[in-house]
Amino acid sequence: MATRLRILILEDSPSDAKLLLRELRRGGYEVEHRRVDNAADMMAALESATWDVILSDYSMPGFSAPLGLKLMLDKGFDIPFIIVSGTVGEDTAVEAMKAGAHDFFAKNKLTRLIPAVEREVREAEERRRRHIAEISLQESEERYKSLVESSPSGIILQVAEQIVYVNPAAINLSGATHESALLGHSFGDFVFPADVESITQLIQQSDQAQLLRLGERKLRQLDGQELDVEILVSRVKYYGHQAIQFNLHDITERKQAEAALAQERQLLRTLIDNLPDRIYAKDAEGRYTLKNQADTRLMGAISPDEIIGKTDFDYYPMEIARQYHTDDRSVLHLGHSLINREEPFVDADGKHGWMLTSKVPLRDSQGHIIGLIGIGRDITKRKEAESELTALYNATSFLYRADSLANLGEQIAKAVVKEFSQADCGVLLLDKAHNRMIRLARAGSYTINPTTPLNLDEPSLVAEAVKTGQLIYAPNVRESPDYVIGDARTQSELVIPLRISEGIIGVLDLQSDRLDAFIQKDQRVLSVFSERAAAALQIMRLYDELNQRAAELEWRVEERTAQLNNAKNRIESILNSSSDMIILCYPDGTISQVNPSFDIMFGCRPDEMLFQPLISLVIPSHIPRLEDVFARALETQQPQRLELTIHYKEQVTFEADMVLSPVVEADEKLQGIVCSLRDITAHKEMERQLHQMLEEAMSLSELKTRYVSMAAHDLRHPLAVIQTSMDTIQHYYDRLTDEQKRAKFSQIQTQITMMVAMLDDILILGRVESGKLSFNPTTLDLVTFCQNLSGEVQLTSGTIHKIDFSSDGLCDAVNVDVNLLHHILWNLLSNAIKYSPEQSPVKFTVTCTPDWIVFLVQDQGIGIPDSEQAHLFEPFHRASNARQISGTGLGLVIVKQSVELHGGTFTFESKEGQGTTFTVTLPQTPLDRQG
Amino acid sequence: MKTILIVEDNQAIRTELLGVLGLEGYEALGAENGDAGILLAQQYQPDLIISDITMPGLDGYEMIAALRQNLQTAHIPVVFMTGESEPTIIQQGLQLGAVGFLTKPCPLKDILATITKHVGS
Repeated sequence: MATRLRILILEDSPSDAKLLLRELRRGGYEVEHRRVDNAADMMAALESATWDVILSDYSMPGFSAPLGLKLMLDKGFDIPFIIVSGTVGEDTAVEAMKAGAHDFFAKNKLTRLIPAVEREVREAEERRRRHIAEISLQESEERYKSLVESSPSGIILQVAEQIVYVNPAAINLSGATHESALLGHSFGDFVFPADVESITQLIQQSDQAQLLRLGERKLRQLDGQELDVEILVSRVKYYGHQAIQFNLHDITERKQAEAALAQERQLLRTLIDNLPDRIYAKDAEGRYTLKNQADTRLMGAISPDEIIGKTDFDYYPMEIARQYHTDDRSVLHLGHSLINREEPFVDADGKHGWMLTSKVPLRDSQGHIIGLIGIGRDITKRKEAESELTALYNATSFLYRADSLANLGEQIAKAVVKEFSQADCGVLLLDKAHNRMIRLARAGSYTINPTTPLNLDEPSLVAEAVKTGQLIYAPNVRESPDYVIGDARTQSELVIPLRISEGIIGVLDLQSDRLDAFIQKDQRVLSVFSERAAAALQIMRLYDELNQRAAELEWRVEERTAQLNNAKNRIESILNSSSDMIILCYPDGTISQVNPSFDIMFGCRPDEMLFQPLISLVIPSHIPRLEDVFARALETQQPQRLELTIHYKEQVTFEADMVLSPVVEADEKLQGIVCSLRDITAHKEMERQLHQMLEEAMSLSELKTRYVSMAAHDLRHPLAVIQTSMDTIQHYYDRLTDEQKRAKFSQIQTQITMMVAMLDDILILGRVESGKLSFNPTTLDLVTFCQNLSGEVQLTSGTIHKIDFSSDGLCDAVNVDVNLLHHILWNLLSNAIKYSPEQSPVKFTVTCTPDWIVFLVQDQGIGIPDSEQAHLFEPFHRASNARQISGTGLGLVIVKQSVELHGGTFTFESKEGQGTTFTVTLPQTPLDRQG
Repeated sequence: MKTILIVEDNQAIRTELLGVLGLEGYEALGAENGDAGILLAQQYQPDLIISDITMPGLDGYEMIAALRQNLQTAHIPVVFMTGESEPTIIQQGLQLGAVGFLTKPCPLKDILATITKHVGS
């Protein structure tokens, strides 16, 4: 198989390159090549591929073999560089070889090419292998050195008793700062002299290849301090010499941890040994692995070690051991903790007791149960006290079932005697008010029962107990200074105060015919008993008091109820017989009761009004007033009166006089309001009518006064004329001609006529105003009436006016009051003539329809000024433009009143200087109508 | 000859008075209201004015007030003759400067005596 060869050819001539390639193929190479002829291409070729050989022409245009060689070397390549040149001088060749070319020959000696290539390729390969070996050796050394240098263990090499190498850790361990402090010394200088020999011996005796452990030693540091180390020794080659390598591990921390651990263990041990509770541990088989002193003592052993490895079956009776075993299995197999179980036990002396036991599983780091820890507390004493209390409780349970104080006292005394059969017991209660003790009960073997109270002012054991609040015990009464002889049999006495939170309420007085009859335990139990007895006595005392009060109260309530019933009956008889409506209200304004009069008036069912608000009885607009007055009655507690309109359910409406009277009990508490109602509708109506009549009379009187005043004024004018005319005639009778005298008399006559007319008008008006002018219709032929009237007016006016009368519709039989109609038409027609120029026509029409009669009087006279039209119907008013024409100022007032008596209307239209039209519209009136 | 001015809206009274004054030898003038009265007073400078109070147009009070405002007429004495006899009305008239008061109906001798008192016979 042909050898593959990668050739880079530096050659400008392709044909020369071909020659080289042919030669190489001839030599059996499979050649892969690239030809370049400048530096840039060569660089690219070097960087892009791996070459076995570079063949180079010596000189090329712009490039040369030395330049190519330099380029290759500069780039750090180690490729065989063979120069094949055309003409080559000896010097040039030498120079090129010096520069690093591997061979040099002429192109005409190509036979040298193959051998040169073979040789150079082989050598290059060798150079490469050697290079790799050197590098790996170097790396290995460096790795070892770094391991040694960075090792936490101190490493010391010693050749022929002299230290030749130390690593940084060893320098550190020895307390030095630099290796120079150690090099040249012997390792023996750094251990204790006592150790030097044993170490030397151990090394000499040891096998060459064996790693020798010298164990824990103490290293002497340069400053004399000691350091705990573990030393390993091995034999190594060092630069061809036999060397001993010491490896030193600092074990200071480990030693300290061990010491701490040991201390902790000791602490724990001390702790558990000194606890009064039993503490023990068992393995998975129930064998003891740990025991504290308390447990050890209990089991009758001297040292815990005696019990370690044994089980409960070795120590306890079968029954108890089996119970313990069952508990252990539950903890060990099921992992259930047993907390605070009270269980019986027997100690080494065979004494039975009670233990409060907790057992919890002990687990390894993986959580597997490997045993249990047990803690036991001796609760025998507590259990005993409990049972004592239970007994006491049973003995005192009757305390709350007694039904009277005396009964309770007796039971207490009996219970005490029953408990202490040799004693005699008295129960005494404190009577603070008299500073003495009342004897409540007594029981016992003395069978006497004194009843006289015991005075506390005199010294006695009882008085002492009450005073101090302490239990007083006289083991031998003869030796007690406070003892007062009661019963000669008494040898010892115990007085126990009966105390509640508020203080002492009495004592238990126990006496015995034996000396020192009450032991400590009895005193304790009796103290507790006395507390309960005191509480029961107090409750019974309160209960008795309560019963007494309740009875008293009951009696009072009965008496009061009887009183109330009497009062109620009285009130009800008043209510029922009253003709006024009476309503009882609660203070909130709702109704609590009504009397029969009310029910009749309002048509109510009984109790229909109950809880209805009082205000529901009045019209809405009166509600605020009623609320106000109601509130005032409540506030002032004084009766209040008001008048208002009652309205209830669209059926009952009347004017009412209401009186609201507060009902105040003896304790001044307001019970409610009594509301009495009286129907005053008729009364009110009468009052209204009277009022109206009075008003009418007043207004009529006023009107008359006004008329009289105005008439008196207006009558002065004609009187003044008459006076003057009369005086003139009298005075100048001789100087006046007959003609003048006649004129004067005529003047007087005119004025008198006017005064009569005015007085007539006033009388008519007076009759109208006072209602005396009544409406009396009669059937009338209106047309004829009007025609006649027109003629009368024309005649009396004394002037030349034409009244132009016309009629329309059926007017021959209408119902009118002739008198009134005469007033109306006479006034209107005479006015029309009076206030019109002579000769001007007056139009007078009457139109009859089935419903209405319409009169129209139209003139072309002076008219009425706009500003005065509003005052036209006022009595005595005369328009400013009518002064020169005589008139009373009453005519139109009479017309208006007369029209109104007919139930008709009266209107006018007027323009000053043009004329006036008056229109009177009267309703057609049936004959039977009366005004 | 003395001149007397009668101011009176009632024509009958006015006519009667004018006739009487003529018979008594006075120059008598008649006016139907205050406006006319002022005009005649300025024009004829009467020696006395006899005036009603309640009249259409300028009434007696307004007239006397206007006469007092004018130097030409301020000095002319005015006598009221009225149907009113209320003291307040008389008081008001006197305050405005009236020199006499006559109540209708008034006897002729009282009227003539009043005139004589103020203008002489």
